[in-house]
Amino acid sequence: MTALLEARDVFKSFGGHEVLKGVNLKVQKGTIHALIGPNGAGKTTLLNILNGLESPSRGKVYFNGNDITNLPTEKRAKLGIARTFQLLEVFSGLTVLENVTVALYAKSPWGMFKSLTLGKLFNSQERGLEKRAEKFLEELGLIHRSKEEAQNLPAGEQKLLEIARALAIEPEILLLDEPAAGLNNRETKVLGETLKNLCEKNGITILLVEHDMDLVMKISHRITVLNFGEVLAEGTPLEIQKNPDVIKAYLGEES
Amino acid sequence: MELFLQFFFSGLTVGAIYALIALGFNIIYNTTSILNLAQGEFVVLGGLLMWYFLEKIHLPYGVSIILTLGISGLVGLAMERLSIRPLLKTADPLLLILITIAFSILLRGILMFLFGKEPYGYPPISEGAPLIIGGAIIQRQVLWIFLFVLFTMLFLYIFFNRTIFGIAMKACAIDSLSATLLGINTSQMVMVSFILSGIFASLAGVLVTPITFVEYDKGPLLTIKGFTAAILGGLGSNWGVMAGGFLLGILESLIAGYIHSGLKDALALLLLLSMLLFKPAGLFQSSEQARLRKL
Amino acid sequence: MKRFLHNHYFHSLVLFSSILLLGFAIRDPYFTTILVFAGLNALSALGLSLLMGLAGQISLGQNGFYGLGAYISAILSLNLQIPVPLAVLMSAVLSSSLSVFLAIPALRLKGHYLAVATLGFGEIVYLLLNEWGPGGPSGFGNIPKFTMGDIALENPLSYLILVWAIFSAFFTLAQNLAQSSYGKTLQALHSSEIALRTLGVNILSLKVKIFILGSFLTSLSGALYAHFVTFLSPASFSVFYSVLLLMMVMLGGINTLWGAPVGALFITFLPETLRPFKEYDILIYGLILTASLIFLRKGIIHFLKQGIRK
Repeated sequence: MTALLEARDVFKSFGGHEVLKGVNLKVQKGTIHALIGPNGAGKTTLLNILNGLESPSRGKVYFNGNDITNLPTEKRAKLGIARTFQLLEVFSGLTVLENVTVALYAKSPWGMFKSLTLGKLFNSQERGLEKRAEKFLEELGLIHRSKEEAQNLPAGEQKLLEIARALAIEPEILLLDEPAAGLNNRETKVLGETLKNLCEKNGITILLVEHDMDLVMKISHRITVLNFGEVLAEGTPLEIQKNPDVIKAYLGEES
Repeated sequence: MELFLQFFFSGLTVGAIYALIALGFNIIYNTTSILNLAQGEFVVLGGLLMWYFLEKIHLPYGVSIILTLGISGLVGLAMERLSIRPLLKTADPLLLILITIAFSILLRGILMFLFGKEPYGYPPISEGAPLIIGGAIIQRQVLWIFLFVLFTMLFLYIFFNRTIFGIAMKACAIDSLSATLLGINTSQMVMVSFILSGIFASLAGVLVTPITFVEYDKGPLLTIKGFTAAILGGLGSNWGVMAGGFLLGILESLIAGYIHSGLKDALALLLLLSMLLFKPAGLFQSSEQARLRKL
Repeated sequence: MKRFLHNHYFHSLVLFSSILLLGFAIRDPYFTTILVFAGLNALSALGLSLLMGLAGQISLGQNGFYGLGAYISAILSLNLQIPVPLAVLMSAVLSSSLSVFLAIPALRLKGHYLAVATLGFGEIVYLLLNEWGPGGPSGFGNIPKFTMGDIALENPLSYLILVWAIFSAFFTLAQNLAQSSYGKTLQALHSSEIALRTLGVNILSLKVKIFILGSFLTSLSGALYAHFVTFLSPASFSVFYSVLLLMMVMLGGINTLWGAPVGALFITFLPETLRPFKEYDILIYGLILTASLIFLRKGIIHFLKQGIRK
C-alpha cells in the first residue's frame, strides 16, 4: 500500500550542520501520525520539507505515490497538503472570520477584475464564503471570536484559528506544528477530540508534531521518534512507550 | 596604460568614499536589520560642517575634523534616540524604512536651511604638487583618503576583535535574542552602531569635499551608491562591503572614462537591480552564509 | 436608507461633488489649478496606497511611473498625432506594464531591499529622462491639451471635473477591491507570505497584479498631468515626487484608502499656505513626515475618528 505522504531518505544541512540525516517517514491515509523528539531533532525542518517551504539537500518527497520534491508550496497546497505553524502565522489586521475566508477564496478564486468591479456588495459569492467560513470556526469553537482581529486572540486560540484556516482549503492531509502549545489542559482535551473527529468523520489524515505526550499517546495511530536528525523508532503508541532507545533518549544518556 | 591608471586611481578614490558609506550601512544593518536610508545625508553633513569650521570660523584642520566627526556622531545618536528608538518596539519594517527616509528629508531640510543651495568646497588636507605614478596624476588628497580608510580598517579590526564592546556587538549581529539573554545590552549596541555609522559616513564627506564639492541635495544618490556597494560586497561583512565600495568606484570610473560619463550613475543602478535580482547575498559570500546572517 | 448612505459608492459621490462645489464656488483659476493638482496627486497616491497600505509592498519608484506616464503620453500625442484620450490610456498601459520589472524583484525582496530596488528604478527613469528625454534636462513644451471629440478642456474648471471624475471612479473601484476577498488576500500578503503559500496562493501573480494596478494609477495621473501643464521637464519626476506620495499616504492614513485623497489635498495645499517659507519646503516636509510617523502613526483620518468618538 502506498503511503499518502512519504519522505524517502531525506537529508538537510544548514551551512555544514546536518539537521536531517536520511529520514524515512510514511504517513498512511486516514491515520493520525505523530512526530515527536527532543528540541532540535529536526521535526519542524521535516515538516517544512514535506510542504515545500524548504528543499532537501538529498532525498525525495512523495504524495499519493507521485514525486513532489520539486513542487512549490502553493502547488502542494492545491494537491491537498495544508499546515499550521509553530510560531504563529495568522493574518494580523484581518478578523478571525476573514482569516478563513481568505483560505476559502484561495481554493476557488475569481480574480482581480471581478473584485474591482463588483466588490463585496454586489458579489453573491462573497456572502457564500462567509457562511462557509463560519462553519469551520464553529467546528474549532471560535465562532464567538469571529469579528475580532486575529492577532488579539490568545496564542492557543490563534493555533486553533490556523487549523480552521488550513481546513478551509479542504486538504487531504494536515501538518500540525505543536498545535497544543499554549492551550490549557481542558482546551488540549477538546483539541484532541476535534482532531480525532476530523480524522474519523472527515477522513483527513493528520501529521502532528507535538510535545504534549498525553495528547500524542491518546490520539495517534502511529508515532515516529526523531532524535538528532535520525529516526530513532517508529510504531504504535504502546510500542513507543516500551522502546528502550526512546526511554533512554528522553531520560538522558546516563540512565 | 597611463589613461587606464588615471581612471583606475580616480575609481579607487570614489570607491574609498563608497566603501565608507557602505560600512555605515553594514554596521547598522548588523545590529538592527535596518538599512539606514539617511546614510547619504551624513556624507553631506560631514562636508558642510567641515566647511563651516574650516572656512567660516577658521579653526585648524585637525580640530575641524574632530569637531565635524564628533557632531556627526551626535546627530547619529539623535537620530537613533528621536526616530528609531520609539519605533523599534513596533518592529513593523515598513515603519522603520519610512522613518529613516523621513529623517533623511529632515536632515536635508535642516542642511538647506543652514547652508542654502550653493555648492561648498575647501582646500585639501595638504597643499602641494600632485604625484605622478606610472604617468597618472594623483592629487595629494587621494593619498590622505587612502590613509584614512586604512586607519578606519585598522580601527574596525581592533574594535570588533579586541574590545569587549566590539565583540558584544558582533554577538548581537549574529543572534540578538541570545545576546540579550547573555546580559548584553542590545539597545546600547543599536545606539553605538548609529553613532559609528554617522561618523564613518561623515568622514567620507570630509575627505571627498575638497575633490568634488558638496551641496545639500547630494544625499540620495550617495545613499544609493553606498547601498549598491554594500549589496555588491554582500551585506553582513564589514570587509565585504568595503571591497564592494572599491569595486563599484573602479567600475564607474572605467565606464565614465571609456564609454560615456552620463552612463556612470545608470550603471550603478543597473548593477544594483541585477544584483538584487540574481545574487542578493553579494559577490563574495554564498547565499547560505547570507541566510545564516539573517539576510 | 442607512445602507445607501453608508457605502463607499455614496461616499465617493459626496467627495466628488464637494470638490466640484468648492471649485465652482471659489471660481478662482489659481485655486482651481491647485485642486486639479491635488486630484492628480490623489490618483497617484491611490496607486501607492493600494500597493503599500493594502498589500504592504513599499515602492519608492512611483516617480518613475509618473514620469513615464507623462512622457509617453506627451510623445504619442505630439509626435504621432494620436488623439489625447487614447494617448493617455496607451501611455498608462505601456508604462504600468513596465512594473513587471519591479514586481519580480518584489517577489524575492522585502522591506528595505524592496525600498532600495524601487528607489533605484525611479532614479533610472529620472536619469534616462534627463539623458534621452526630448529637450534633455530643460524639457519640452507644446504638448496638446486634452480634447474629447470637439470639446477642448481648455479652462482649469473643465479639467477639474475630468480629473476628479477619474479619481472618484478609481477610488470606488479600489474600495471595492479592498473590501473583497481579493483585497483581504492582499492584506494577508502584508502579514504572512508563508501562510498564504501554504493555502495555495500564487504569490508571484498576486504581486505582479497589484504592482501593475498601483503603477497604472500613478502612470495615468502622470499622463493627465502632461496634457494639463503642456510642458514637461525631468525635474518634476525626481525621487522627491515619490517621497511626496509617501507623505500623502502616511499622513492621510496608511490603513485606509481615504488616506490618499485626504493626504493629497493636505500636502498639495500645504506649500500654498506656507508660501512665505517657500525656501524651506524640504525642512517643513521633513518635520511633518517625521512627526507624523512618530506621533500620528495611523494618519489624520484615524486621528479625526478618535476625536469624534471622544
